[in-house]
Amino acid sequence: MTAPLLELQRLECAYGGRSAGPAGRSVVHDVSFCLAAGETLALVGESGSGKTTIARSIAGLLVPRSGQILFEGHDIGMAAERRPRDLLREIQFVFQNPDSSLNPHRRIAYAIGRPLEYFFGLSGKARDRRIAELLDDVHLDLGYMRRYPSQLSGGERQRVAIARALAAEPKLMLCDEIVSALDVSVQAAILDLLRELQEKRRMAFLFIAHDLAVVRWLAHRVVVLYRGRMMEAGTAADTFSPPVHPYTEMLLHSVPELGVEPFVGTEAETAVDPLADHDAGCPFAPLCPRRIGTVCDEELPAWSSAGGAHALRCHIPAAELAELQSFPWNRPEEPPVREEVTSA
Amino acid sequence: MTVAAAPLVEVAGLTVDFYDRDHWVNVVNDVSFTLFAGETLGLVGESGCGKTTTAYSLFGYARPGSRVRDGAVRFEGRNLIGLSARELRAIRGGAVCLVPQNPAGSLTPSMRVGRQIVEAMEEHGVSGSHRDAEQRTVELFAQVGLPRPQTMVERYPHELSGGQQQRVITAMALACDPKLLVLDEPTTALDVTTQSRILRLLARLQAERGMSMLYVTHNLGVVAQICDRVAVMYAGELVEVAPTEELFRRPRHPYTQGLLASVPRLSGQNGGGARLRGLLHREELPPGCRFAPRCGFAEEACFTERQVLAATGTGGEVACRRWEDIGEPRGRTPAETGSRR
Repeated sequence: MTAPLLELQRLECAYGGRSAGPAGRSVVHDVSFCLAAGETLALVGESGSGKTTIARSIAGLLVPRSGQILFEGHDIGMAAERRPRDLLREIQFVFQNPDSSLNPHRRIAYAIGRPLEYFFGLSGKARDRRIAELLDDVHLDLGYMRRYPSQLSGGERQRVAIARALAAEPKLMLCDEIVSALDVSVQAAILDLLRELQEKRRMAFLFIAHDLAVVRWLAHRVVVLYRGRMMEAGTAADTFSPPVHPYTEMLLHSVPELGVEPFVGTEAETAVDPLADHDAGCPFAPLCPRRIGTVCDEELPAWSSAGGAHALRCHIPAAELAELQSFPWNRPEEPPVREEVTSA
Repeated sequence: MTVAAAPLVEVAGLTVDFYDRDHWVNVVNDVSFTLFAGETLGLVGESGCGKTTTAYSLFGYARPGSRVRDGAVRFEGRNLIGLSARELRAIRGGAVCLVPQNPAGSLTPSMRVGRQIVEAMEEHGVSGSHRDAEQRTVELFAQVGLPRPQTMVERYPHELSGGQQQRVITAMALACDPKLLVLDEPTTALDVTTQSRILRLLARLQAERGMSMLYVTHNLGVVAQICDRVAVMYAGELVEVAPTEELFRRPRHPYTQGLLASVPRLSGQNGGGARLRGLLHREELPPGCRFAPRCGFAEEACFTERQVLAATGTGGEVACRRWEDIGEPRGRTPAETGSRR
């Protein structure tokens, strides 16, 4: 048994730095999970659920308030500028919007060449050769080296951003909504590319997405977040079939898909203040269609097992949820989507 | 849905070019379709396929640097192409309204949201007194499901969530009782739960008011939930038009088939059939079928013979000379093809 590549232990994050003080409001509460080499873990939840904050703290862009981030067993809960160069290299971040993460005044060769210089000291011919290989990895031809970001389509720019992250030869890639802005055919090509790269290099992905169908396609394991708290964790197969947390259920029913009935709930904008603090109780209780009583408002549910590594946080027992829920895409004879990586 | 005999909108042979440095590039080519009263038509395709340019033509609007080379856009029988700016202004925001993709960018940040709607109504002279317009704004906010509409009208855009901003924009679009709503990816920037609420809101408002909607999107799931018919665009041309259920059950055009197969599904399986390969290269379009370079069924003649929409006999139209040989993609299950409508 080896240590997982990445391990979060009771992570707590807040914005506002030290000035916020201990009373400052946390946006990520008590988040713990592991990620093994060669594995894809998806963080799922709506805007404001803390997904990006978690990725930022792993990347060192935000120092956690408390809790630990272990990378290959070492605590890395420090700011990026204090991290050793090797660690910076091993964890790479790909952002949602390639338009704002690529310098518009620099050619593509510069964007991809920089990490090659910085991390590996490559220059001249050796660097250009490596840039060409990386462009090939993301299925772009050599002509792109001389181009500027504005001469590329959105999908091409995102490939360049991926190539730049790959240039560092990372062990972990943090992918923040990297396909949300792309057309389906380009999206499919990038998802295939990620799977191919993972098989080739045993890279681990922390994949942040709000598109659950994409998550289903790519992730081995899923962590569902609501208002900064983990509500459910399990394999991809677990979180797409009953029992699931009522919040996960609502997310799944909200995906517009053929043959899937839209979630039966209110059509009106809810009056719940997204910034209000819910110190006690289940954070989802004010919106939960399966709320069972005051216990939901007053007590934070404990984790309960739903079999294997599948756990969820709900006052309704998992067995009962299983009886209440049904999804049209779950058929008993459905073959597994892809082999699950058995994590340590 | 009952369809009136005369269409509300008739687009005939619309051809639009864009000016690129020193020459004109064709972006919409010979596009024809009709939209009936009370109907929702989806216009789908990938970025750059010309769907937004086509949709904006319904306002008689040519984007800067573009020209309508040919064709007509008839709204209630009247051709919008060539109308004066003043005549168009009476139609835009009045009989035809837009719900844009980015709600934040369409609201004035320094003006209270209620005031912005009052102004729109006064501009079109649909309100009586100022007080009536204010009263009507509160009613509209309630109709689009905004909580506490009385206080909401006093808010500034930045005080609202993305979903709330989109509702304000929808209320603004409805303020002048339009006959046609053009929706340009109105839910793309929103969370799935918010998107789901907005889609149900639109379906209800349409049923209540009997409006027509042209829904521009690249999200086929959204199309399946809200549209009566779907028009599929590729590289500036319509390749297939069909009732929603027919399109998803029996996609005829290889591009439609590829598009459907490229969509990841919640079941973890894709829709069956071959996914799209390669990318659209606008500078290398053949004189025949524009999809031919990426098509798994293309023959030599496909590259040279121009294709136009022809009836399939099952309610749809397809622009493919080989559609009868190709048949339907296999491996699809009833649960994935059944439409809600």
